[in-house]
Amino acid sequence: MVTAEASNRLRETGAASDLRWGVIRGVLWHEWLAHRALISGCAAVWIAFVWILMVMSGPIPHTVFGLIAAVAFGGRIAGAAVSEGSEEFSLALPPPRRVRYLVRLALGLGVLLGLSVVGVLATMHNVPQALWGLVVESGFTEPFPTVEADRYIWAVVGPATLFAFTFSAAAVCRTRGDLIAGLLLAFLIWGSVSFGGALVEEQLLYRGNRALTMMCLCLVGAGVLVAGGFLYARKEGITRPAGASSRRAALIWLLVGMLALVVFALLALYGTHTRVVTE
Amino acid sequence: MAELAIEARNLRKRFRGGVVAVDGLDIEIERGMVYGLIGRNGAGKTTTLRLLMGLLRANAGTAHVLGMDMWTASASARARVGYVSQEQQLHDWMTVDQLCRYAAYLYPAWDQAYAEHLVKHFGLERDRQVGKLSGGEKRKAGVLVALAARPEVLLLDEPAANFDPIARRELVSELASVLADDGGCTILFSTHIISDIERIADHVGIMDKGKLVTSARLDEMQSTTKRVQVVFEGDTPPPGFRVPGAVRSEVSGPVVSAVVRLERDDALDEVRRIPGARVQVFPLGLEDIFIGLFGAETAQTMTEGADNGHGRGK
Amino acid sequence: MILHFQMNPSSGVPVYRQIMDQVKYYIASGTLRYGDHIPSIRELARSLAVNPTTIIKAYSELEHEGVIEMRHGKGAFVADSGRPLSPARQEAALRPQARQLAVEAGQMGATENLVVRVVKEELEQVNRSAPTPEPTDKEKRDG
Repeated sequence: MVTAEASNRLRETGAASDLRWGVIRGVLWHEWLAHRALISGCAAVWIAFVWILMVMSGPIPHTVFGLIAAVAFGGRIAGAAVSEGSEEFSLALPPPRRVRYLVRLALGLGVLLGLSVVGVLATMHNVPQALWGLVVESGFTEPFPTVEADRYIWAVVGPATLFAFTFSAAAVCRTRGDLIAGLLLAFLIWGSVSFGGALVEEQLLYRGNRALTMMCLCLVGAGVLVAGGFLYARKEGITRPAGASSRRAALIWLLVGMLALVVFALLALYGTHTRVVTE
Repeated sequence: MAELAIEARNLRKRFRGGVVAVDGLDIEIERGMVYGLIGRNGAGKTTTLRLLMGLLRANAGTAHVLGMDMWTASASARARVGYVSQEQQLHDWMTVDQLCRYAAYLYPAWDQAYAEHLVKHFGLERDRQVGKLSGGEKRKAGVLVALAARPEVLLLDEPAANFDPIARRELVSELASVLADDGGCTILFSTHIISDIERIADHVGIMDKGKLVTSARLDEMQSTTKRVQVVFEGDTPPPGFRVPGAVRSEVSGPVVSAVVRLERDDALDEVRRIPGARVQVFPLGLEDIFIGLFGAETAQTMTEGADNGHGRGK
Repeated sequence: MILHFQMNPSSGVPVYRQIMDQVKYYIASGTLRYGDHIPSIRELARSLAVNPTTIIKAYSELEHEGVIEMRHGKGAFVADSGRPLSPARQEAALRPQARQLAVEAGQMGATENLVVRVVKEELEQVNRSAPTPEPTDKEKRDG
């Protein structure tokens, strides 16, 4: 508990920078407290997979897990207030919306990147196997086939950019129904951009790696985060009753449906084409 | 500081769907005033408070608290304003203790000793999660956070709605303490409970259809608005008789009963001089003043306890 | 001492007047005597759940009328003597009530004798419970 003396001291100094740091710390503490179950749970599972079970060998499991975490983190960290219905209370508190947005973004992206970068680096250099090799003689120590570095980079960039989309979508949503639809929409948009970009890059530009796509994706992701920030700053702090936005929700689901078709088509195209190329 | 504590000019808010909740509202509240806002459901009280607090964006007009627009104000500026709403949902997963700790980070003027006193006084358990508290206790927790932050302005939206009379009296009594300790604190509260306004407010405003219809000092209203009863000999009053300054008047047999705005002490002297007229002046409580000024039906809807309608269009 | 203050915010009578009247009543009936401590503004505001400015108004009017005195830092106390006002000021203070009495009496057609008798009886009642003190030098205080 903050003691009476401490709060008196805060009142007396009243320095703006003190307060700003105090506010940031307060929001960070609050966000951590709110989401620690999810964050530590994910981290524990991730670490267990990478370092203990070593199922996460190669970039694909990393990518998949990263994508799932990105959706979960984005939706939960940015959308918890909406789904709890506590937006009105939160937004009436002193921290301005931009501070809230940035702190949440830092927490979510920071943890996600931290986990994925460390995990990917470790797997790339076979560190878990080496460590286990010191302890146990087991079949786990066989070397894995080397994979191009860009797939490992994708394992970091993919989830991070997906997080950008889901986080912005969740921040902008107003009701629980919107939230789910928004997350789906975010995933599908991200999917179309990444697969579409990969297709374009490989089929039309004949580039082997997907560096261009990844750079585009990063740019778009950053743009989406900025746009999300602006929209969140304009967000009105009342939880609308569920029925009020049914028209909007229907529109969003329609978009979701259309995009799902697009992504499916792109995936199919991509799948058939790469098979042709590598044969 | 000479700035107004709360100021709105031509404030307008239209919701999607066409509902105009606030329609050209002008209000001026000086520092240290205690302003009671009353009006029927849907008059725009909740929306006005939300606009002032920066939870809603106005379509037109301005709303300033302590000279600043709460939408763009910094954290340190916003920490000077406290807000309690009838529909607020606190974070259910936080304990009362954690809530206090969170608020302590955010409000530089947070008074931990006072918070602890309020926790005890309101009978809240420190380690209980907010989600497990009863409805009244949740609201008390919200009030606790707002009061212990020692704000310069308090915006309260029906803070005692759904409170039992004891809890309501405790709240008003706590507000009285806050005013006594911290004379500069400005309070704007909306309520349906007229007696609370009579106890604690020094100004009263009536909202109807998104506009502020009346705004006056409470003591002025009470001292100048009276019920005047004139009883004549004979069966009816003299033809063309009117009580000067009457806003609403009823005649039944030889009795004329009117709600009157008395501008001067001697306003009734000419009536007293009418032969055979017996004049009596009765003081009116605020509720009777409303009924007198606006008619029984309208006044009743203004003073009806908070119904189950939740906020839409308020 | 903790005295009960009856207060009805909805009666139409201003709260500060109600408080003033009650303090005067307690003094007149002897419950509060010279030097007795009256609840502080904060205490009274809190226990009655009313705006402290009304209490401040009541107390400052009472102090102005010489009924109580505020000692800096110590609170409010009953001032000495029940008649600190000069006769001129007493007359000015009582005249409005007398007018009201006269008007009502006139309207109901009561005789002057009846009115005087009633007033005398009430005065006796009040004086019986609190012995009238001798006029002191303090009468000249406010002038």
